[in-house]
Amino acid sequence: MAVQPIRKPTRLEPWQDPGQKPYVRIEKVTKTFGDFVAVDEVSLSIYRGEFFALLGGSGSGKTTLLRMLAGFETPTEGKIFIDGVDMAGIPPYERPVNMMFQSYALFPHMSVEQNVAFGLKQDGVAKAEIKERVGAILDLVQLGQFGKRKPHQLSGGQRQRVALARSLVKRPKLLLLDEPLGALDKRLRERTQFELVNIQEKLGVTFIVVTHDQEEAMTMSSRIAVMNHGVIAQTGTPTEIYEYPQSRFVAEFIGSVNMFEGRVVEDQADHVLIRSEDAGCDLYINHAVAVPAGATVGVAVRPEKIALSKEPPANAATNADGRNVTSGIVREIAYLGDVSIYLVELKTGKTVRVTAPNVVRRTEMPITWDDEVYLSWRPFAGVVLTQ
Amino acid sequence: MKQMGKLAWALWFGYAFLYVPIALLIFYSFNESRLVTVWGGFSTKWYAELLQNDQLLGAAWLSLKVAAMSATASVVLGTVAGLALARFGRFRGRTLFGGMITAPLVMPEVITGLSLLLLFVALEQAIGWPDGRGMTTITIAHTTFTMAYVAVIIQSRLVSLDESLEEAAMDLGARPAKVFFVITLPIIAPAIVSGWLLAFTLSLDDVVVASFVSGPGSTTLPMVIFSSVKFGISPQINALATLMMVVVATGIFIASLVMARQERQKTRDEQMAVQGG
Repeated sequence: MAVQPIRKPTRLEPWQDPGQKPYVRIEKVTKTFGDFVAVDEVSLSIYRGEFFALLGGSGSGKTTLLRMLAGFETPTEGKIFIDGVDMAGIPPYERPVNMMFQSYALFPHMSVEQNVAFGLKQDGVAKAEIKERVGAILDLVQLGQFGKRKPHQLSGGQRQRVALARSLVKRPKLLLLDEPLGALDKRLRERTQFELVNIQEKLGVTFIVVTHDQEEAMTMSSRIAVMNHGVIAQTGTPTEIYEYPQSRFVAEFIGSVNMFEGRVVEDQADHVLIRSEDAGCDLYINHAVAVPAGATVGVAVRPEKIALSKEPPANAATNADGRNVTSGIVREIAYLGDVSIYLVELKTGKTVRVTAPNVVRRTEMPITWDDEVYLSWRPFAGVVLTQ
Repeated sequence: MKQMGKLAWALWFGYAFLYVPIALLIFYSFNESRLVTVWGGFSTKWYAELLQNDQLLGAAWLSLKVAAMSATASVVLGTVAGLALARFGRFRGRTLFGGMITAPLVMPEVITGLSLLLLFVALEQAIGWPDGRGMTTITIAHTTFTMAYVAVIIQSRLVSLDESLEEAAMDLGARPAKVFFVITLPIIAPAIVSGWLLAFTLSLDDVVVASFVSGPGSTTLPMVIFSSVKFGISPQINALATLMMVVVATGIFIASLVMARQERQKTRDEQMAVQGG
């Protein structure tokens, strides 16, 4: 069997299609607890079949938003529509939504089968059908043998799968997952990420996942909404969020980034030039920015987009007049096997992080501690941030 | 080593302090002599006589009935109160309620008894119920003060209960009432059982409140024992106390045995699950 990419390249992008109606529509929803504003005028449209991630640190309001979708919290202001129906006043047990809890919330006094069957029983499904559907969903999560066990007789990974099966067995159109992989160890988490995506594609259910783990959000989701202090900082595909962050917060929250401060000196239709004391060179970026000359901006450059060399870089075409080239001393090297991380102290005093893949097997590093090195990057590497 | 010796000695002293009186009571229940404190040889005659003593047995039976009924009633009321305090978030006067529920724990029993007596008398004059004082009034009185203990036990259990269990059940389509009976109640059942046992013991033990609210013909066992002290204790009381102790000790022993076994089983299962990946 051929290895398939997790997300097929031809996948639908319903948010690009103006004819599509969103399946979940969150309209200017605000939630306050006393004086604390947990969610602040959030609007979102999520489409059928999406794997949507709400990404943010603790206290960013992502879980509160999820709980409002499930019906455990009522919005202070604003409206939530699921499949066109206003959810105001509809209790959790009448919503076409199921949720997988961070703690899994498996009923400790019931066996795995009883846990999974619980939801179907509430709907008055016939016994024979319950048995069949429970069996089928347990096979799907590879727990067919464990039906008679109690939750405490299962490992963490197995419990996670029981919780998933229980929330999927009612065939909800929308599944909410609160930190679904949070309690698993790293290795298991990576494997489960793929499983989760496979199951989601197989069943065609819309997933909304809350997570604080940016890597998790990047691997699994079709789109990500980055949340900060109850506000959505940016919504977009993983690539958009990573390559084109719209604010310093997003740039710094997703992956690591080097942030240079500078002043716009030249603003053309096809490029901008920014003078940066920080970087010790002029920064040339091949896209226009809607800021007037003289404005102070930040330029974000990802560590893997910076090239390290002991000689001044040769391709002067992209680095004409010493733009996007600076130099410094290697202060720290972290060898991670596949890549190495270099911390380079520039002449200006700023420390820049560079990651370089270890393409060649070597025991002796060509670049080592206290070497003077040149750092250079291509015109597309930088992102101008005004916010 | 010397340190250990001292500690062991302290331990023995502590246990002696606790158990010598009880051992003495059991010892004298097998006393031939009529005088409780004078040893007159081994005999089980007081046990035989006890079985003939209708007053004492009647009182014991009444005490057991009152204890069972008031424990059951206080478990129901205490669970409701505990639920309200642990679950319904912040409502007006929550702190006040929380404090007030525990007030009967520290209230002098004499005051509780007297105030209940006044209430019963006033009620009888106003609506004709309760008709005189007896088992009903004792049961009600015991419920009022044991309920506080149960509420505290249930509340602390509910606070440590993962609220997402209830939310998960609701999310899967169960209405709140059903969630309570199918999810919450089975999970907090051990707390309810221990609350019931505590209420039962407290009721069985009470003499002060019962003295206030009991009527003629309804005398609980502690009241009989207490009043018989004035005329000198009959060794029958020793025999009765020994029997009750045997029953209670056996019950506790079996319960703890079952619980220890469950705990061991659970630990074993968990270890197996971890190894099984």
